[in-house]
Amino acid sequence: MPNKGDKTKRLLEQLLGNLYNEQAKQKVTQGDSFLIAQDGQYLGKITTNRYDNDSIINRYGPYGSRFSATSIFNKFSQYGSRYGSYSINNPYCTQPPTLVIKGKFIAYISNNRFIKERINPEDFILTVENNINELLRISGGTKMESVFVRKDSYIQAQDGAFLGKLTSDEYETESILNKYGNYGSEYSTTSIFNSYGSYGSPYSSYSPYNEFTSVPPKIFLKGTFWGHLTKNQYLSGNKLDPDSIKNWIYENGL
Amino acid sequence: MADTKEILERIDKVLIDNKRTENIYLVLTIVLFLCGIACIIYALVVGKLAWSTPSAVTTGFLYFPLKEIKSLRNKNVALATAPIIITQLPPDKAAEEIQKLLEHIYSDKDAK
Repeated sequence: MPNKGDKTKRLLEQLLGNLYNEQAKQKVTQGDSFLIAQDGQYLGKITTNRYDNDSIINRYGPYGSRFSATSIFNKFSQYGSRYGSYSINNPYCTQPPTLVIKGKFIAYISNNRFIKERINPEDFILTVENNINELLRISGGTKMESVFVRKDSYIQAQDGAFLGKLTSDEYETESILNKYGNYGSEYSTTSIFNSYGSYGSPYSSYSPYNEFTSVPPKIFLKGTFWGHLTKNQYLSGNKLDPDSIKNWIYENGL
Repeated sequence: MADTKEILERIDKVLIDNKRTENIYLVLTIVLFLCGIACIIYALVVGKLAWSTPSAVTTGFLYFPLKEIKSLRNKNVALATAPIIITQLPPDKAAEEIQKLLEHIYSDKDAK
């Protein structure tokens, strides 16, 4: 969308938008888990099935695609943009989308700090992408902090992508030391060890191996921001060389 | 959703625009190439090898228009397939395929 002069892109995006609009009809049924905007627009089903067309995590569906007008992932839609009237990312929005789990209102998803019973959009998206089962288990008595704020140690890219857990357990699926897992394999797109991927290449700005980046991955130690994982020696604050991460994990007893 | 005729008309219009841009790039590429050749011939005639330097530079510059021409042709292929995708596939599948096309064409320009 940044290239306004590209007619091909604009036309294909318009066609895509029309196709998504055609599909995006209200589909609320009792007992469902879903996200709904305050103008009544359905914003996707909360489900583990990422191939379900209505799923919020189906990146090719009307509610998960970054090109769809009815998706919270579209940075230009009124449900995902910084200025949208019903957007999760608008810090001044007074009518943010509502999260409903098994037919019960749970919270509003909003960047507006003055809204009560709200969940931060970043935490919500992180949970939706990595821990949707936990989200579906929420009931009236569940403490939100236990679901949306990770208390463990992990790394996160500056674009919000979860890049793995910092743990010495090499068999844990989320561990960055698990050579066969999504976050430790040198072939995985979400691994910092994939030297051709967005998060591991020495030329990608989100990679810890880029010596010149100002947006390297963030390290969270027991749920609290600790510093950056980077080869950039000139970045201020705490920083850790990605080549020493294994030793660092052991030193911190993780 | 616009009807097929309208979609086809819009696609045709963009295809014509793309063709015009492609022709401009082709002409500029040829001009650049001829400049290079002229410099080489002049270097040979005058016997001063220094005159072949501009041709090396202009040959290097050919990379950019050729890259654009390749990109335009990819876009035209995508545009030509779009009507078939929209008319032949169910809306959910059509949307998926068009999004994949978009991501394929623009993946190196826009970070996801």
